[in-house]
Amino acid sequence: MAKKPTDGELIQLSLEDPDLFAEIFDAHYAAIYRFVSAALGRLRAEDIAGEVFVRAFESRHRFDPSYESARPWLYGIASNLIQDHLRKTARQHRAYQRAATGEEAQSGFENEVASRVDAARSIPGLMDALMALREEEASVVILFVAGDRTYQEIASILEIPIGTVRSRLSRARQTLRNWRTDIDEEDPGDHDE
Amino acid sequence: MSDGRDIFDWLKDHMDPLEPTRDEVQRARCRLEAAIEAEKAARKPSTARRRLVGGIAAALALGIVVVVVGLFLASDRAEAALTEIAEAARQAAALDAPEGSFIFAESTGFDLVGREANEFGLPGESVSYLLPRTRRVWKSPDDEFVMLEVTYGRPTFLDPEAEAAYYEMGLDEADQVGETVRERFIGIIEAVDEIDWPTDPEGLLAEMTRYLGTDSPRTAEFVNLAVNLLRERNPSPQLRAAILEVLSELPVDLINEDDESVTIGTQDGGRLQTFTFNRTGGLVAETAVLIDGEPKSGIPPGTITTDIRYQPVEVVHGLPD
Repeated sequence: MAKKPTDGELIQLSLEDPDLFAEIFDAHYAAIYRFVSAALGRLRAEDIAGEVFVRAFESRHRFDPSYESARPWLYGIASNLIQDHLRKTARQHRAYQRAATGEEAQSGFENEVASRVDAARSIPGLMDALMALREEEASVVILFVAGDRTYQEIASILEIPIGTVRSRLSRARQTLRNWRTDIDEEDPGDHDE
Repeated sequence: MSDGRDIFDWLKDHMDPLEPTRDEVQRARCRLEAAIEAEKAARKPSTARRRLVGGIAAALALGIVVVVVGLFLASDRAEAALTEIAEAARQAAALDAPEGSFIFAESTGFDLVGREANEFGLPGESVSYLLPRTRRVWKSPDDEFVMLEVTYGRPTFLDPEAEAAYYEMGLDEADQVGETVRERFIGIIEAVDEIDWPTDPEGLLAEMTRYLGTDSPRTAEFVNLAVNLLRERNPSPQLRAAILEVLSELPVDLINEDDESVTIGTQDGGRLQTFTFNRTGGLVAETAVLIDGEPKSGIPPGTITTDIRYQPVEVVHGLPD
């Protein structure tokens, strides 16, 4: 029986025969969808998970064919798209707050949540927590929590040293503890346990 | 944090990673296939132009001539029926939604849902089942506020063993069967609602092509985007008419026509979708069928994977408690 080609080999072959890239989709779409839905909820998962594969297809010439699995690379693309979405949502939320209160909301990706506890259930999944973080921390937390990736895998996906992964997670842990304390104080009955 | 647990563990417990539905997988695959086709077409432009939908897209650059070819190739009967209801839609009174009101839409039906077989404690790759639901949507006229309320019913299984395992493993709780789930989205505007869609058919087709992001979208992609602009929305009579006119120019099949409704169909790969409109262009039903089934997941040929009925969209002046 012929050996099944690796993702790297398939992607290399797809440069000549683009249809082969559909096999990458079949192998990884459900995992990427689960990852995106964990971070952003179902409403956005289809759109963003679908976009991951279109972008991957269009940039496949940059994929290193020596890698056996394309999944870390796909997680990286998905992580970037999730970040883009969080940025956009933060901008929209600031605009919403301005319209609602007539005041300028706090600026910055990381300061959205404290002022929007009332809407804590308005955005699904992990998104509220991610919006409490600095962007570089959120990118690590997305992969660690929603993607269930190891430190080493995150370092590889984001192309940063493993020590940086650890330090970003450590800072994120502290920020998220404070974030959760704020929410518990505002709405103590809203969380189980 | 009062419970002393690691915040990351707490977040993982509160995450809700979901399996894609069969339709979601199919739509995403179509999107990738469109990108693949676009690249192949760019390599062989003469082949691409022979494709009807490619021809319609190319018409945006080449002028009206190719669109006329498209019209001849489209199903004459579907074209006539859709043109007729487009005209009625244009004449219909607009549904006014003043500030402070909500566009309310309600639908009932089911979708095919898949889970990994190991969640059932069963061998194989996946288990599929039909999950019925009632969905209600309240949306502000500026699209800035959306409230969803979904009530899930007891699923229907193709395999009795999987059905027993489903309840045994508590997957009914995971699916929130028998519960009504409500979510609010504030300040998050869906991508299709961020666009000021043209109300002339040619301009609308051009904008749809740009939105789909490829030189030669497939018929099913055009149809699904067109229906998305109608589903649970309140387009102006002019936009609704333009959407139906764009549909009339696509090579869709007329499945049924009677005094009350028109049903069209489009096949993409092994999936047949149908959409039913009332005589003024309102979406009243949609279905999807897996023509060849999916033996790997135990889905027999001809399985209906989606069947949804829509109530007419209304304007309401308050939200439920």
